[in-house]
Formats: sequence, C-alpha cells, structure tokens
Amino acid sequence: MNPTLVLGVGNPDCGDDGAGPAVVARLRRRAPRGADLVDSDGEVTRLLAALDGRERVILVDAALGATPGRILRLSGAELGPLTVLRAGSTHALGVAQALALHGALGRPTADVRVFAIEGRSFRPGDGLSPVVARAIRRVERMVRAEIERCRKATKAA
Amino acid sequence: MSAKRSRTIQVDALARVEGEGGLLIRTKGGAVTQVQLRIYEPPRFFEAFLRGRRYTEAPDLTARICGICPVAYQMSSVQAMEEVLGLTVDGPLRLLRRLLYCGEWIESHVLHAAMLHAPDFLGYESAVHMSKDHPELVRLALRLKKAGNELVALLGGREIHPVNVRVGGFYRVPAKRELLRMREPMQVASDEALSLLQALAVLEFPAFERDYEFVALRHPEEYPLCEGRLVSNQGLDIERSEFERHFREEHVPHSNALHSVHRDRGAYHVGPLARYSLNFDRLPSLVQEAARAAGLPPVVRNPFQSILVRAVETLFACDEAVRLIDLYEPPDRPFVEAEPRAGVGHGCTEAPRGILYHRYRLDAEGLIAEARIVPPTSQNQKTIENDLWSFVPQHLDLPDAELERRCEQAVRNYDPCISCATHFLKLTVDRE
Repeated sequence: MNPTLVLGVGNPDCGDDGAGPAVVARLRRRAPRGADLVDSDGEVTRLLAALDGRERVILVDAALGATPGRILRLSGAELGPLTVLRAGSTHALGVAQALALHGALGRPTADVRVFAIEGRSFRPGDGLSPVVARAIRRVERMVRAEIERCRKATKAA
Repeated sequence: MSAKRSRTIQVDALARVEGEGGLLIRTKGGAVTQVQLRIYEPPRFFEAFLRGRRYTEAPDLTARICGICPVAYQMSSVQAMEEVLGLTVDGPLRLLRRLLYCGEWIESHVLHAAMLHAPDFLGYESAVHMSKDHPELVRLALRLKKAGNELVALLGGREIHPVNVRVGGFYRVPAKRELLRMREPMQVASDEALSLLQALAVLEFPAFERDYEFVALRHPEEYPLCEGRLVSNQGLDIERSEFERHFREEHVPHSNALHSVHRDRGAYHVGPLARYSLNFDRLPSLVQEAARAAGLPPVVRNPFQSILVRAVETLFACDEAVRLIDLYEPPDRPFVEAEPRAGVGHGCTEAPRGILYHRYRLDAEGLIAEARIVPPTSQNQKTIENDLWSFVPQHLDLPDAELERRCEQAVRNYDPCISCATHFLKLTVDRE
C-alpha cells in the first residue's frame, strides 16, 4: 500500500459526475509511482476503508457550480464546513462527511488535497460535457504534479 | 405546548434514507388529520425499458435499481427466469447464492442499524456527530460492513453492482480455498455482530406496538432468503406465483411509488420484523438465545425494535456464512442452461427490507414481453403512514422540532429505499 491515495469520486453514468473516475482512468494509462489509484461511488464505508492508513489523499470530485469546467483546489480544512450539508443521497454520507468521520475516529489523514471540477450536467446516461472533458486533462497534469510532491515529501520524511 | 393547537410538521427532505422523499403531517385539536409519505424522486420506468430485452439481461439491468440491494434484484430476477426455463439451481450453486445474499444482508443491515438509525436513538444528527462520543460503535460497524463487502466482492465479482450472477448460476464460481479464506473473517464478524446486538440492546425504545399483518417467506427448514411459501400471521399461505391474486398496487397522488396492499386487508408489513416474527423457530438456537438476551420476544410488534432485529439478522447471516463456507464443494459447472421458451415466471426473495417480487413474461425467443417489480418499500409505504397515524397523537405534547425528529425516526424503522420504490423522502407536520 502506498502512503498516497488518489481517489476519484463519482458516477461515470451520470454526466459530469464522472469527472473524478475519468481523471483516475487517465492516470492509469501511465500509472504514477508512489500512489494508489482508487475509484469510489462515494459509499462511506468503502471510502473509509480506502482512506485507512494513508498519509496523503488527493481527492478528485465533481462539484455543482456556476462555471462549468472551473477547477477548484481545496485543502482538507476548507472541506470541513461542507460536512453540515445534507448529501443528496443519504445512504452515502458524502465525501466531506466521510473525511470528517475518518478524523473523528482518531485516524485523520494529515494531508488532504481536493480537486473539484464544476460540472454542467449530471443527467443519468450522459457522458462528460466537452468543457469538463477539457478540464479533466488539466486536472490530470495537476494531480501528477501533486503525486510527485507527495512522493518527495514521503521520501524526505 | 397546547395539544389543541393545529400544527403542520413538514420535512422537505428526509435524511438518512435512500432516495428522495418527504413527510407531511397535519394535526388539528389533538387529532391527526393527514399523513403523507411523499415520494417525489422521479419514477424510473424500469419495467417499461425491460421490455424487448433478453431474459439473460434482467439480473444486471434490475440490479441497477438499487446500489444497496443489487443482489436482491439479481436473486428475484434469476428465480423468475429459471421458472420459465424450467431450470433447477441446487447444490453448490444454490449454496453460493445464499452466501452472496448473506453478504448483502450484512452490508445493508449494518449500514442502516449502526450508521443511519442508531444516531436517532442516541440523539445525534448523523453518524459523523455520533462518532465523536461513540467511536467504538462506528468502528465496529465499519469492520462488519467490510466483511459483508468482501463476501459480495468475492462472489459477485466486485463490491459495487456485482456482475457475476447469471440465469442458471454464476459466470464464475470460487475454488474451495478462495471461499475458505473468508471463513476466519466471517467468524470474527459473527463475534462482532453479537457485540453490535449487545451495544444496541441498551437503547431506549418508545413504547409503541401495532398489530401488523406480517408477510414474509417461510421455508420448511431454513431462515428464509431465497425460497419458501409466502405466509402471514393472518392466514396467508400461498406460492409466490399467487402474489398478484392477493396483493395489488394502487397509485396515490402524493407518491411516485405505487402503494401495495392486500386485496382484502389493506396495509401489511414486510422486512426484518415480519421475517423474524414469522420465522423465529427457524433461527439457530444460538441466535435465538442472543435475541432473547437482547430483550426480544419471538414476535416483535414494536417497529422501533427493528434496529435490534437487524442486528439479530446480521448475526444470523454471519453464522450462516460460516456454515455455508464449511459445506461448499465446487460444482462441475458454474451454471446450468436451457433453451429459452415462452412463459411466465415469478421470483420472490427476502431483500434486506423485505420481500421483493418479480414477474416476467417471455416470448419464444426469450425476449421480455412484460415485467412487474414490487419492491419492499412500496409494500411498506402504507404501513409507515399508519404507524404515524398512531404515533403522532401520543406525542403531540412535544415541540415541533422534537416531534419532527421522532417522526423521521419512525420512518427510518423501515429503512425505506426510495430509489427502489420509484423505480420512489422530505417531513411536513402541519398543526392547523
């Protein structure tokens, strides 16, 4: 198990919600050293299992927003306030809640970086919209750079 | 607070249930005047788009109705198809299906009981809030859930939307040693399920009972998962093929999910309480003892105790998994086959939330001409509303926020799966 986890969260069958898994799929074509790549449908217990024992987590997810294709970079701390939101599907607690739960159980991941891509449409049956498809290529490069930073940080430690 | 005043309690979006729905309750002068479980998640038309598809596709298509209980959909659909084709799936293949279903029961029950329903009893908004004061309960649940996930992944091919079930059996069956690797984890899970039951047994349960008509499968020897006659505590005793002669679905304006009712007796109750109360004698004696020690009688009419019955069934599923793993000898072939033929087939199995009924009519080429799916939440909708008709008048002295919370808890007694029912929650209590 690598100390760094890249987590692509989303449903590839629901339009731009598939942005996270799409980035992970692109990373897999030329798998980066020093990180495990995992897809997630957001189900909380599996998310927690994936987080277990990681030092660093890079999370890629779609977001609702006014500017489709825009890329938001957030830290784990910035995600914190989102735990008050009620998740759309409540059997899945949501990514922010999963991270909060992970922390509350006394095994917080110190280093959490989030790449959120604002989507245009989340309609079941659709693929990625063109503007999001372009954004995931940029996010792929950003995540590769982030993995490299994590690898060096692990080595230094 | 005066009980005479008229009030409205409205929950626009019910939390900790699967799918989108709400609740509206109106009271006037201490009496309830309206209860609506409002299901506004859009209908999903699965029965329509199954038409024209091959019979072989039904297990994978219907599995997509629900992310929580895909195995239930696979089990009911293959059973119906095998009835049309005249196939008998027995021996190790039957054993593996039962084992796979145990995995899904563990996943589904633990998620609901410990993560979604327990916060109601302990006074927390969510599992995240609960975890700060009760980390051990949450950790226990996560470990148990993981054991269920692993069982489903091993037999179903993957954790999310398993793909290994086919009409006639499986695409691939495990080697004996693969299954034996799960023996130790399932034994540990059994101990942990007992701990979960003991942890939940100390909760306080509102004094509330109703005289339900319980409907569940009953098998000559086993606690029911896939097989048995459909029975009730009011004299029902029928084959699964007779389901539609005794039950019908009706449309109500406030719900995108059909309400299923008994043709003569109206609302009925499916799920853990029904299964347990009709089949207590089919539980292994150790599980019976654990249930008694947790304060459960052989018939449970308090829906709030469903959280305990889920824990009892989790314990059963873990023990049953160990038993089945020990019995397993790999079959010669992973599936049995037959030529498609025209006919009608029925499936009815015990999903975690209760009986899941399927009926398909196939043409001579094996294409689906007609499909009918009645999920457990459709069957429980009217019973959920009836519970609230009785429950709310007993608690009108509570302030709105507290009454709303208790009503949501009452709805969650059923672990409603709205996504299944619309193939179908929000709360509104209106005190006029």
